[in-house]
Amino acid sequence: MKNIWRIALSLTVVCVAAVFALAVVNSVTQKEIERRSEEELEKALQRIAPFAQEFKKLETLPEAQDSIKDLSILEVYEALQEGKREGLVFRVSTSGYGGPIILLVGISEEGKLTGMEVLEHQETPGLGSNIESADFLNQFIGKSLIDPFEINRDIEAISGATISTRAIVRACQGLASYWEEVREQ
Amino acid sequence: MSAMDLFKIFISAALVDNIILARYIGLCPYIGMSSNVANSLGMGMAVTFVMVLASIATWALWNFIFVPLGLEYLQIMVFILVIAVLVQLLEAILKKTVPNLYQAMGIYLPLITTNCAILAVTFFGVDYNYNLLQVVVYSIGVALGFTIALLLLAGIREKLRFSKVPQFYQGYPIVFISTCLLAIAFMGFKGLVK
Amino acid sequence: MKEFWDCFKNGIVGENPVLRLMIGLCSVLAVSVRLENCLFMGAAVIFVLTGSNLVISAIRNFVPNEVRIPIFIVVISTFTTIVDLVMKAYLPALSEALGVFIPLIVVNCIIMARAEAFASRKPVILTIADSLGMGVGYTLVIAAIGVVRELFGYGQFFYHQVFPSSYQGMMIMILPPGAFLLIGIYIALLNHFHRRDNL
Repeated sequence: MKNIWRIALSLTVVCVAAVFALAVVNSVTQKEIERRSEEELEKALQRIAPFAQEFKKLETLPEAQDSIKDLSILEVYEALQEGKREGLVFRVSTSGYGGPIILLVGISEEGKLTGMEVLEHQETPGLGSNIESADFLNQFIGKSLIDPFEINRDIEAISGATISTRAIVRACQGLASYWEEVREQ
Repeated sequence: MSAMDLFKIFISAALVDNIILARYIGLCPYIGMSSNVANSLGMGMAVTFVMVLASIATWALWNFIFVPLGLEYLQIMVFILVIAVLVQLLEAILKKTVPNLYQAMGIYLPLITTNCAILAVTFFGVDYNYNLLQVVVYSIGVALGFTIALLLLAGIREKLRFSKVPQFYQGYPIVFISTCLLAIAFMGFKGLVK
Repeated sequence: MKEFWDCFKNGIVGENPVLRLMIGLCSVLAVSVRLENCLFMGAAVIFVLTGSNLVISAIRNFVPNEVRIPIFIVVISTFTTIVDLVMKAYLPALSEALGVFIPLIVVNCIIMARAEAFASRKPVILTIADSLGMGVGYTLVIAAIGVVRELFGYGQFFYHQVFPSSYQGMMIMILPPGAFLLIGIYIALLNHFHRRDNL
């Protein structure tokens, strides 16, 4: 009987000490983690829509049309310059070769691409992973959404990674119809 | 969410993102339990059983208790304890109720507590924001992939016993070289799920 | 003092956890694409290993034998969570690169095995030596694999281009098969030297 008390006591003491230690560490790191992720997002938005001073997240996303295949809109931000909307930034997910690719795409009021950034991907290292490279992504900047985005004419594909290239191109094409809808709101 | 989506989750968990050959998780039992086909089948069964139960249990705890209470930072500790308790319970229940099954996989159960594949699956199930059905399908897929990889290696190792292996490569080195070839083969599944 | 050194050396040479005992393999293969990742992974493992074994060794006389395993798990997972949270807060890029393998330190067999075999029986000072030895042994192996994979996979060393920029990179070194191949060759080499010494 005495032994059971000892077991219970030692387990309780260890667990309480552990949870207490973690709570202390968590309270310190939690704020830092939140601050950093906000900062990261703000920086990424700034790179993609350099003309804007502040960004406002749209609370409700308009219904997507059926025509957008393999593309889901995760978040939309309004890029504001002196309170006036100058463009939109979309956080979208498209399916690549190894899994979903999460992109941040900036579009100006005239429907031109102002910037693009790959946030997450699982493409093959050394081949498909080149979608992250500036050389590839810069090809899209300045193009209009109504452009055909023909691979190897408008856009030079990454060698050995046609599917990854096509995934990005498809995202741009898919955004065209969606962008119209958001803009009219 | 359609049946097709579930099928995609299943296939990519079992083949494309094979937990051992593409993600390097669960290597200890993979190397340790693959010396013959019978052992690896028993291990595969035990892992499947525990993996599905553990992901359901942790999924429920996470979504109904930890997220609402804001206790996310206790994740690692709670998940590993849940798995440990689950394995103990299973061992006791199986011993009493289904002695046949217990004999088939009983000896593998204690090894499972520190199997990183199980803990990783419970993390991924929460990370990917799956619903309950998806978590179940996903964990069955991963467990199947684990068993396939284990069986394949066990088959190779049984054959290796009759082949001439260079002296220094006998034992673990040749096992890893075989795994390397298996992993190359599994790379062929990439791009299967679109 | 000699005892201290012997315990430390044991983890690096005699019973190297990765190459000899075949434990803790997952993270060794998974994060060794870049040398930088390897060193931080090694540091994380050394911290958890030393921290938790120190605590376990210090409380070894108060812990009833029946519940020692659950208590080990609680202690180890506490240290793992601390590493995970601190990395997420102050080294976010690295924490992303190491991904799930930081939380998975909790099931790294090296730590549990050393807690059970060493820390729960020996005094604190020797435990520190043993944990540091094991941790350094782990780090050396992971760095040895990382240096080859980064060099041949990307042609780089700590992100500095070493090979001419026309070097295309051996894809297989970055992908899983290369890791398996490399560790196979390392163990074979170790076998070779070991056998030669014994002759």
